[in-house]
Amino acid sequence: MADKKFALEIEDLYVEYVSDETVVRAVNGVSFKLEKGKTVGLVGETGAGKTTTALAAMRLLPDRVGKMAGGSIRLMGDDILALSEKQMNMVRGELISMIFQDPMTALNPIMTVGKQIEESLKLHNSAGRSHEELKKRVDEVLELVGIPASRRDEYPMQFSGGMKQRVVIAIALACSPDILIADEPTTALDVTIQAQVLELIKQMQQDMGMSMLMITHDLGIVVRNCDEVGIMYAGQLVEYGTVEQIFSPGAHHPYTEGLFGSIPKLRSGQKRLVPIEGLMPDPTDLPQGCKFSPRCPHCSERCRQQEPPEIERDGHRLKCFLFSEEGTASDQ
Amino acid sequence: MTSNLSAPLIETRDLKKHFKVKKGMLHAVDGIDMKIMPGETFGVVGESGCGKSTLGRTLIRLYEPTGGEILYNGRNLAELRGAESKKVQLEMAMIFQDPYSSLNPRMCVADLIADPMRVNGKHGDAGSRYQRVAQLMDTVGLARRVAGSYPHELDGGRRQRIGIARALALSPRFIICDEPVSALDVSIQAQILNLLMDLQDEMGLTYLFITHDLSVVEHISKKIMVTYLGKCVEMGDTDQIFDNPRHPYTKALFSALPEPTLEARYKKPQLLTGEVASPVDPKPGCRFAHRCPHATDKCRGSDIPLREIEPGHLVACCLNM
Amino acid sequence: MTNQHPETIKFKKVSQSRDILRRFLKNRPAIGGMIILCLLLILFIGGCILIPEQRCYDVSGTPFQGPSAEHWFGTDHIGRDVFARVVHGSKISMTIGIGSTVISVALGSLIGAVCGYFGGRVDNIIMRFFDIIMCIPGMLLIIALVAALGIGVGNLLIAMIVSMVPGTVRFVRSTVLNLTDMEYIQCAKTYGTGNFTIIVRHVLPNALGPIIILMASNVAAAIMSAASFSFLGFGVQPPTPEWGAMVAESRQYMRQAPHLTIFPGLAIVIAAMSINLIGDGLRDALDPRLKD
Repeated sequence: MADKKFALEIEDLYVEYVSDETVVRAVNGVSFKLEKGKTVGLVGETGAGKTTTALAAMRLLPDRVGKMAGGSIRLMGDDILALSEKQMNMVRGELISMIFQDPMTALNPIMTVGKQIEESLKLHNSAGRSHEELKKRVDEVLELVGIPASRRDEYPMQFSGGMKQRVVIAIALACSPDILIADEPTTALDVTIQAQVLELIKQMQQDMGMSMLMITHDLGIVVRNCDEVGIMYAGQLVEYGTVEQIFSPGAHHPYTEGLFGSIPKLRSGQKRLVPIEGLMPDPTDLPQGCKFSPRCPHCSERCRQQEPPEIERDGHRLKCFLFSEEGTASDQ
Repeated sequence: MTSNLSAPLIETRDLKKHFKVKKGMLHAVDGIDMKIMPGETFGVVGESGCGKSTLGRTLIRLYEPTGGEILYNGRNLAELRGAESKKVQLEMAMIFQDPYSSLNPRMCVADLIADPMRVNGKHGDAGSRYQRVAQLMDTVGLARRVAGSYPHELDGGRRQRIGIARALALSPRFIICDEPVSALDVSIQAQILNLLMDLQDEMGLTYLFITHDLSVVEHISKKIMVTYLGKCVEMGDTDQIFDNPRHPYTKALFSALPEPTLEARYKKPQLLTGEVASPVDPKPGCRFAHRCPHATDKCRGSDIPLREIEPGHLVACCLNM
Repeated sequence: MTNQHPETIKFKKVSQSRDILRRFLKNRPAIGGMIILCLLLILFIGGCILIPEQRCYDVSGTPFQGPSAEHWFGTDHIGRDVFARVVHGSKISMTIGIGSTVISVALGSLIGAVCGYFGGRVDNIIMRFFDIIMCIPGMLLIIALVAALGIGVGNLLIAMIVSMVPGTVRFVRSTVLNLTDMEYIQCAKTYGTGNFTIIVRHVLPNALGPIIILMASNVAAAIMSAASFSFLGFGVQPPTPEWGAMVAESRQYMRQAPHLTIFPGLAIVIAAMSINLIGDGLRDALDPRLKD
């Protein structure tokens, strides 16, 4: 039996999307462990492989095109690759649940919200609860996410964006999962509503003792909601550590520094931003060596040829030659 | 083209744009007074449904205003006719939010950038038009080899550069930027913001910068207007607004903004209750009253006018009376 | 920065057409349809050139012969060569099918684009008018029109166009309605593009994909309905060869000589099917957003 300290363990995960002519290497060796009751944030730009990692953990990679090319995923200590599709269906919802980015498309427009929550409860009704009990639970869950139970019989279109996202959260939490994956849960919402929803998620997590994997591109959300952070680039974790490690000055991966330099900081008086030059690499044709090397200001010959090793110090992991041997950072 | 640098380039007086919808009149823009000086960036911040996009589109006359006036260089746009009206129109341009839907998928990059010139018969023949396109592509940092590509072959950042090049094609003086970076990744967003600022320095452009992102607006604007449900709730210099926000809505916006610093981790955001009300047939009084923690009966009776609390800093709130 | 005279950029716009071709070639059913249609066209065009039209009316053969080396498709009830009649019948069937579709789609696209783009009262009036036409069953409408105008190929063509336009208008209008929300149309307005230019340069090219698929399925349907009306006796009159009319003539002898109905019938089915397959393939290939 594996270590029960961790809710989700992903080790050396590789995912590929295969189409007729091309192979997209979406995730290339991602490893991290989500401790029970904690929140891990995955940060990165479009195409970094954040969502793919999450879908792999749910075993929801698109059929035929997406496949796990290596690595292992353990939920509460159990290898999910060993489960049958039927068992996996039970695991989804009860053990692990996911909130998607767009509340507008995540809900069925012709079904009342109460029915949609009930649906997910019915699928996992191992306790054999009666119809009345299920109804009661629906009301409970709705109140939990801050929607009056009287709105149970309304349709999604009668709700505003923020309220819809609350319904989506209610569905995800209906069966009290142990792990919640939130994929950009507030990107489609306004700032003031975003703050409300984030606070709600945080509250729920504390009350139910859930573990959470939070996927976002917003460093501000990470610092408020996560305990540990992984910075993803081209399907790899280029840096991983606690929020304190990532957000305090010190040794950082050049990509992390680039991300921070790209965000305008309030009241800093700085005139120009320091963006990362160039574009994301083509995932069908990733560069040799360090994936970030074509955009990196500290790139050396070695970076272009060899994949940098991962260095760990107090749980702070970095994938860069700059820090491979103390003091021998090859800056030129 | 002479214009007085101390006179506003664009001015609106009680500008209104209402739309007829099934349930009544939607007050998208409801009495906006603003002055934009030549060469400056004027930021408009607000959440979705606050009418900031409609404001931009009314200025560039995609919409006919329901009421009020728009003055360009001191001249009322509604009174301009024929060639003069056309000339003013071409001195304004717009950059759109969505680099996917703002480019015709059936036109290649060079044709997209050349289209404004072609439509208006500028730069005569195709040869000199494409010469200008080449120049523009250099200006916005697009490699010339993508000239024959189609938008769907390019990423969001490069598409937005196409949009910017197209806006610059007729050498405008005033550009309305409608959320130009919100659909982009942060690293690309920074590239585009820098580009916009460089262009402004080089060409003396005037921007109306519409966004929901406070840190972006703070970075780029000299003056800021905060809008809520079609009305301006606070307006002033960027420093005044950020150092001394006075309207409860502005304060709530700042508090909700997730800042990527460790200090923010231990700060509890001051949450607003409720959501933005419907802009259809709003009741008189402060539009923010139903979410405002300080609302009193005074806020609900009649509309609250903007008051100047320090030079150039205007707030529409009873609290500051 | 170079201080040189900025040279004009040279670029090729081939990528899109090459892309379209590549995607089309990857679509097996469409290629199948293409090959079948080409074979059919070669057969018909070659046949029309090589076989004198006189042979369609030549009654010197023995009636009801089965297929043979001399008469590939056999002979009909008065001894005419069926192959010659199928080949020469293609002229009228294909002309009506393609002609009515092209004209109705051209008309319908223009009206539909104008209605969808401008909206408002004009749109309302035009659409209600077409709604009324669409309330009349298509078949009844065509029969009534042909009855009023007089029986004949030309009048059948007109009647079919009238019955096909409202559907096209409605289809193109809804496609265009979705497009008018696109920001590139708003953008074109900001730099003073006129409405006509917007429709021609921005709206119609983007509605082209759906219009082409509509056209393909309409051609197939029009070939069938041209045949049906000739079968009913509203179009081509005997002894002129036409597929539908041939099926009609030979239906009494279906038992003794099934080949009389089978060959013109097959011509209708194969022509319609291959065009449908090509239309599907074209739609998929034409949409630049549907990559691979």
